[in-house]
Amino acid sequence: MTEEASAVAQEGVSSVEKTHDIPSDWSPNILAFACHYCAFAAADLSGVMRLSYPTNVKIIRLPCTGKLDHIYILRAFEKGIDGVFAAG
Amino acid sequence: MSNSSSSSDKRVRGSVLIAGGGVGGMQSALDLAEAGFKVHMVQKDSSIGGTMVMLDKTFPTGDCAMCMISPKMVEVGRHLNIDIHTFAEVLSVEGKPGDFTVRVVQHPRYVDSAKCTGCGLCEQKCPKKVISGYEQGLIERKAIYSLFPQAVPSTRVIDKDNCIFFQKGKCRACEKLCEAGAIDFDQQEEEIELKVGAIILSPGLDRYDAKVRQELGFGRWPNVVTSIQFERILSASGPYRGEVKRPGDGKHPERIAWIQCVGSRDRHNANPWCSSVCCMYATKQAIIAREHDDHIAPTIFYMELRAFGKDFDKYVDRAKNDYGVKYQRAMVSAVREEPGTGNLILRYAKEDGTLVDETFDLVVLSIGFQPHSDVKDLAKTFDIELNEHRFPKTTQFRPIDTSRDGVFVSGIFQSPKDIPETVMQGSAVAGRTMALLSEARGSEIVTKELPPETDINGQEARIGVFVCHCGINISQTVDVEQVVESVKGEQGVVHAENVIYACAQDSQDKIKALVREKELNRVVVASCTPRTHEPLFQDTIRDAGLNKYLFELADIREQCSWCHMGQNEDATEKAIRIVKMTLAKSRLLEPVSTDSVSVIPAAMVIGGGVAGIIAALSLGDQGFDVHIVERETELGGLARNLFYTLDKSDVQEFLKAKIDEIQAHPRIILHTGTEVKSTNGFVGNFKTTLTDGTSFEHGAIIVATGGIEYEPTEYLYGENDRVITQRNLEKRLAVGHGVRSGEKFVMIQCVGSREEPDNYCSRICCQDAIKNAIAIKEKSSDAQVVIIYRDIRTYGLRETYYSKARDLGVIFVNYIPERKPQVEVSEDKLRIKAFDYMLSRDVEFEADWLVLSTGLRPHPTTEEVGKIYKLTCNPEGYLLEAHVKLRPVDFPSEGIFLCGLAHAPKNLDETISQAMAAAGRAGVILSQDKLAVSGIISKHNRDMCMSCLTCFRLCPYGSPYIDEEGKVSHNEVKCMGCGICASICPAKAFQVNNFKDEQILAMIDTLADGMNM
Amino acid sequence: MIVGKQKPFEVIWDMIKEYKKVLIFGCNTCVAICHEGGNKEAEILASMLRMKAKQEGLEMEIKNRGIERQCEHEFFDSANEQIEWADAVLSIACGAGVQFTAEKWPKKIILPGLNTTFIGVVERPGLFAERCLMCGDCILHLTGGLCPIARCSKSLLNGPCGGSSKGKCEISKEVDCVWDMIVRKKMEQGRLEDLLRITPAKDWQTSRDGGPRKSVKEGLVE
Repeated sequence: MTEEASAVAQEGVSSVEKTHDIPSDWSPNILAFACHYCAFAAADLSGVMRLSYPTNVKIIRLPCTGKLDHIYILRAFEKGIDGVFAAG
Repeated sequence: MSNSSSSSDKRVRGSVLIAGGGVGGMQSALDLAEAGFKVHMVQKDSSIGGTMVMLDKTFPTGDCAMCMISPKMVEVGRHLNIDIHTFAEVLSVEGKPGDFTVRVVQHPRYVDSAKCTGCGLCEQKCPKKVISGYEQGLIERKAIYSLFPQAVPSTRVIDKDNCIFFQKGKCRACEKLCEAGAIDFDQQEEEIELKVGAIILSPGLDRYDAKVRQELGFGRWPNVVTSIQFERILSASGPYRGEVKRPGDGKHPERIAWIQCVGSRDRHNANPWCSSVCCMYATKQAIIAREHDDHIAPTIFYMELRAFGKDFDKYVDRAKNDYGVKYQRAMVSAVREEPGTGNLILRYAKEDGTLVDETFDLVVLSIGFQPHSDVKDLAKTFDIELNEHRFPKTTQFRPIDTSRDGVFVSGIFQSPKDIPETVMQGSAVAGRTMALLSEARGSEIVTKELPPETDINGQEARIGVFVCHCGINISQTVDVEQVVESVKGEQGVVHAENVIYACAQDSQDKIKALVREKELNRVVVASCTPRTHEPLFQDTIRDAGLNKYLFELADIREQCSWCHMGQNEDATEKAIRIVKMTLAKSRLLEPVSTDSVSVIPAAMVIGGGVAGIIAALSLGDQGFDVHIVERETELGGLARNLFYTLDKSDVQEFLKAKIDEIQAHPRIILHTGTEVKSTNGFVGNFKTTLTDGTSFEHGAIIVATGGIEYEPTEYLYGENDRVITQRNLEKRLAVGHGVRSGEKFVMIQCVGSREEPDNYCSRICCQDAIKNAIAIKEKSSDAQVVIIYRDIRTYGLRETYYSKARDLGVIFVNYIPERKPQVEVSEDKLRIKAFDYMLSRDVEFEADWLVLSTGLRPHPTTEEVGKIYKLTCNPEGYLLEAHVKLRPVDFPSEGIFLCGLAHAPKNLDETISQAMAAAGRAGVILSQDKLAVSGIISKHNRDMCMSCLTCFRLCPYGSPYIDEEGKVSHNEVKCMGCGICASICPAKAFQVNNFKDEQILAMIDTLADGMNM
Repeated sequence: MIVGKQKPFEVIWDMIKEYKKVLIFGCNTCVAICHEGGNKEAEILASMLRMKAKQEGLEMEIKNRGIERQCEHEFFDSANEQIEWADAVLSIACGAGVQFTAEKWPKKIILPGLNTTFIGVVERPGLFAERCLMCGDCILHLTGGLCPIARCSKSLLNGPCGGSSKGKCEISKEVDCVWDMIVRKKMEQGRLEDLLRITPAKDWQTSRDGGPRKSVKEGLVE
């Protein structure tokens, strides 16, 4: 489901995407969708273990990655979020 | 199974003591507490969790152990009717079944659990480092610590022997730092008295001390580790964070050797039993190590590969074929370190007898289980008998009953076993206890009185936001005041403030007061993870009269302050964003009403073999009506062909006694000579019609459709009268056929098993062969018995019978499937030729009898029954349980349970345990007056639905169904809220409560709005 | 059921790019079941087109909306406002729905987002297969419930042609020879002699060769 959804998203975009120059100070805004039971727990554990990662990742908790709707991914890209990470 | 608990003078208490908080004890606790019994769990460690929490992954599915067990620990930890006493031990037990008095000593933690919020700051700042026992000595912990990060309870404990203050009289750093004031150096040992109706022992086992086997070099060569150390090495939360490194020099090992049976199957230097799990965990470790680093070349040195469980052989095949794991059948005689490199040289004899030295980078010793050193004291405390191996004395037919009435055992403490069998026994002892104490069910449980819910219909959002400092856990990285300021003035926010500990009692009271005072109708707390704390805050707002689904938690600790330390500005920015996203969702939250459905307190058991009989009796004794449906005219199933067990218990006598019990049981209704035609309904409310026209209602279903024996076509069976099966032989021996002096028996193992098309181990055949071999030898010591085998899989304590057979002179010949034995008939004699793989030469035997060890197959009706209930089978036709580790008798569909051979081949004692487990699990449902439907479920809008059936086909739980009108409807009782239906519905006719599209999209929009673009 | 397939994204884009306000208009019956033209697909397509417009630097407004069926008058009421708003409506209904929308809104630009492919069945989830050619004169009673008009590449009426090989059609090994299936079925049913009867050449008058067809249900028609 996850792969399928992102594939749909990419299919629409990659074929028409225009390349832009990337400013040197640019960093992507990333949205992660995480399953409550596994990936969200893993994100918690990385905090518990004080593993550091950049602050530009925000997580939205889903009851299961099965809940990840195509439109969530599309809406994120449409609104300018640079990367979507689905984990479950 | 029925007990004399009905006599009038006898007091029966509705509470249970569980000694041991591992995965088995937790299963018992949850089953019992859900079924209406008060549970007191006493655990020696400072956290519950047991052995499983130390494991990285589990076989044969590769699931993360902590991910599976952690939610269970949280559930146990916050269950209203489970009292956990960690860091405590049982001192004495007095009384009788139904009414025991137990004295428990509570060791001081020096941390007040009522005040401690588990924030862990003390641990961060404690100056004293101590070798970590949990991490198997590979790294250090602090003197104030929690056993592991996910510990339950999260209250820290001070290790008095290593605490600077206790040892030197000064420091008290933790006390100074703790803003909750929870440190209490004056805590004293306390004694508690508990009154309970029954006792469950599940304290687990210890592991063999690998130092004893000096020749293997553990403790001497740094790159020789134990298997439990290697679990920690593999673990992402372990000492090396999942990087496969060797302890000696931190280098990445490539050639890794596992040495099996260290401390097991060795009656001279160690323990005589097989530990049951090592072959499989070594396979798992080899696979996982390869997954972490594909340069690794694993070799497993083994004596016999015991992959006897469901889908285990397939797992080993995958290890060999997909991961290049080499299995070397050899005993390693010595391990030496190569000077200067830290590498290790293993000496062993190859198949052809030549001695070789092979060099490895890392050696893992697969250490086995053994009873705790103080098991005799424990036996004395509980007044139970131990067997000669220091395991509790149990029998084949009463595998979970100790010698003392009302005291039961489960898990590895009973005998070595893996996780699913431990969980099964956990539910089995729960079921057994429910039957014993059935009249007192519900008598000691606590229920909570709640105020009526405020109707917020039509109100604008009035949100209260509480941002937590968590001591300084959050506030040292995130500017909490700035977060508060940033949300003031946000749409709908009528109150925002910061609190030191949101979860502390004073903050909870404050939240409740503010909900009333400011008429808040939504609450957002920004603190820690919803996985552990959401239920707490939900209860808080519910106490204040708000529907609990109007609460939302923003995780700014685990997912912000803790992983962005030192980046205060960015972390604060992120925390603000997380809180605003949560606010966006919060505005759109709606109250969720949770429905409940009534439960018909009766069960149907499909199958009248031993599994069905035991399950039915257990449920009947628990006080529920039971319908047994058996297609044959007689009960008993396959057990009708069994006469004695490995320990010489009489199966026919047992079976007759149980059938008599069934027939006399007032609650059990027998339907023989008929089958299930159809079942409608759902958990709690099934209605079944049988092929004979009978129909009845019931709340739960137990599928015990059993198995059949393989009828061989190999080795002249059916052509020559002297070629028989183990079952034929067993009958001959049991009905009094003598054995002539010098009579010759040759047995061939794995006939029709472990090769295509039935490539799995039937688990029972090795013990069957050994059982019959011993019986022959005991009848005539000079009879000749030869067992031609692939691997002798006498796991657990069964191993001692294997030794016994060898002692009695039974000859064992090892064959490989590429060179199977050949049978010839000459002059009325059978001649069996085989290639002995161990001796590397041909051998030949003359036989009066050729006995074939044939395996088991699922019963042909299993598939049909599976179709009725939408249950899936594995490729071999055995029914698939909901989860191979933690839900071994459940199905994904609620209210349907599984036991016996329909699940997988197993021995009689295991069938009995599993049947009691299924009855225990069914009892949990049947004991409810009403089953509450979860709040987080998918809601179906029938007006938008055009019955395309996509959801119907894809739902793993079978909750969408085709209704009487021929359209798709949704059974919310079955729904687990995963949301697959919602994300796939082409009409958008499903929305999941609390995860509605508009709520998630609002979060996405809020995130995007705040980006610097 | 009517089965359709969304047109390639670039084709759709070319159709709509000259308009400022575009409504992606879903139909929630047949084409929703084949996951091509329902509410969800309208939502996805609209989002992708908005991104495309942004990338192309075009100022466009693209919304989505769906109704139960675009082949009946009454369902349109709930979408009047959005249709009115749009410069162009991309209907992702079948050809009938697109035309019906166009008839109801004669001044609007109504564009087709789907290719209507065939009348078919859901062989298994996600696999749709043609079964009926809508010829207007059913002969399934003669052929064991298997239609040679729709499923034989040559629409033969009296047995397979010489191109039938091992149960497959000569046009592709993926295509079953329906006549092979018919013969087998008749054999199983013990009614092989049914096939001895010669079916005369088909009268195609009932098919669409006679121009667009109408069907009247007496008693319901006003």
